[in-house]
Amino acid sequence: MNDPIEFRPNENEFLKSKILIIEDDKFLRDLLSQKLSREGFKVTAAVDGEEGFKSAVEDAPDLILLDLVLPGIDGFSILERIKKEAKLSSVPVLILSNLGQKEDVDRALALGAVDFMIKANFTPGEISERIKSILKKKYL
Amino acid sequence: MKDRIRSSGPVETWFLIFISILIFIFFAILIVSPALSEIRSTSTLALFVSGALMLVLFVRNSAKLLKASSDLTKERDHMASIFNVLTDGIVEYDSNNRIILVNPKAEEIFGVKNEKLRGLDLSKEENSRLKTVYEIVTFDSSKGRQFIFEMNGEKIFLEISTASVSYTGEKKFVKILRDQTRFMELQRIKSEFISVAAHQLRTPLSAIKWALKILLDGESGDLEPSQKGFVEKAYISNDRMIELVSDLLDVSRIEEGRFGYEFKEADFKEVLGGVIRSSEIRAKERTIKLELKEIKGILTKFTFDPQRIQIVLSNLVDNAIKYTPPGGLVSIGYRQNGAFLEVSVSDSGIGIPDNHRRRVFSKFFRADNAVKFQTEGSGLGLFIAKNIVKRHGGSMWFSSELGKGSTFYFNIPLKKEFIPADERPLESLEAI
Repeated sequence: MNDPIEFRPNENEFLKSKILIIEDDKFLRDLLSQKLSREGFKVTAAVDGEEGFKSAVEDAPDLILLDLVLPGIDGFSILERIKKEAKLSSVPVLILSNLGQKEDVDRALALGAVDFMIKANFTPGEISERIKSILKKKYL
Repeated sequence: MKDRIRSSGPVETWFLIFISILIFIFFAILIVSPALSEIRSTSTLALFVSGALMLVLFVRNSAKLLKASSDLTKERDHMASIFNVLTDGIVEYDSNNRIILVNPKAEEIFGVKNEKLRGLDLSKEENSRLKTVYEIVTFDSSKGRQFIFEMNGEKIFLEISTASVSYTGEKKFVKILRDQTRFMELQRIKSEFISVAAHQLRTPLSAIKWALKILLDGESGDLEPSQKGFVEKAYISNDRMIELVSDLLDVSRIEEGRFGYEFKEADFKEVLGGVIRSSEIRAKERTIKLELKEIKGILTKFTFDPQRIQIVLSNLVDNAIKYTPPGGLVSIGYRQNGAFLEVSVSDSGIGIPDNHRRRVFSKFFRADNAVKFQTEGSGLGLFIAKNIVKRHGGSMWFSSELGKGSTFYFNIPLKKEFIPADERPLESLEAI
């Protein structure tokens, strides 16, 4: 994968990672973008799956935050496509959705998502912490 | 019906006819006998009289018999017409599982006619419909009454009860089949509605949560202390709503039989420890003593769903803390009881009024004194907890004394063989 940052001794370097948010609700998208930008991430956002997938292919993000209930193609299908795309298959995808029944979680994890967070159960701060811990694992 | 036949008395009349035949023969012999010619004329008269009597009795009795038999036919038709319009399916069979009688509703459920079923040894049948009939006939309704099968690609839900009947000295059995397909369909639609509504609710609830959190963290400028207090309260209320929505989702999934369990070997002691640790803060806030009565040497590593059992334990401990006045005691204990692990959570709380005992595990139910004591609460916790335990093959019960306290118990099997094979939609009565 074409990493924008090389591994360096500075362990906070991953904070400059590129995060792609695929979320259809404007308010949630904005709140999350702002929070992650404040944390130092480079954030791009997409409103639906189609746009999100295009942006992912072009931008090669370091992590994708993916909603499941989206207009048009749903998050599960996008996740499948991401994992099939050679260029993107190793990018961690963190599901951020208000679905969250066991079968949804199992399905997303089986499709290759790195983790599953229910939006209503976490704050932007907690989501940001989870992103950091995933990226840390990726770079260490 | 038997009584009615006896009251028309054909048996006694037949006896009278028999006697008159004897008299008739006696006099006939008298007439033909040459030795007794002097009484011939009297005998002839007697012969006529007894003959006439015989005839009258015979005619009368035949008429009576005819009437009795027509009464019987009427009675049978009467019963049959009621039997035929019953909206529950009825199947009668003998101890060899051979079908004796099937009513039209049962024919409809099976998709097979009564005539085809009568006397059939179903155990040897290959035909899938007849196999279903066999499964229904041999269904053990003492272990649960729900029976699901597929016909013409459609799922049929039956509630089956078994009764035994005995007549002509032989014991027969009856299966009563209530078609719950429509009810289950309504149940499914209702659950789906709750599920969609809950998911839709979660999006704005997340937005409120996130925005309030940003305000609270001062990320959009500092708040005055009094403002912060309001925002904090709003945040907590919002979280309570999120929890309620989660509970509603759980309830609808439990009702549909789609909660999704993951049984694996885990340590019960650890799960309980986690619950106690997270409850300690709340107990302290309410100055309630939390105590664990541990018995050493009990096997606590066995197969269960640790995540779900954690929900059960949290619910019971939360309730105990919530409904106990400050200064009280909540005591948690567990022990092995036969093949089960039995857990108890007792409190020195407000107790459960006698007239509310029956409804404690009903969803949305909260006892009057509970509502007065603590305004919060959805009435869903114990419904969820009980169903989780049930899915494990265990049960939940309680004892309580008003004003003194309550103890909730549950048990779950230590052997995984006792865990029911699959999750099922709740039956009509369980879903209340």
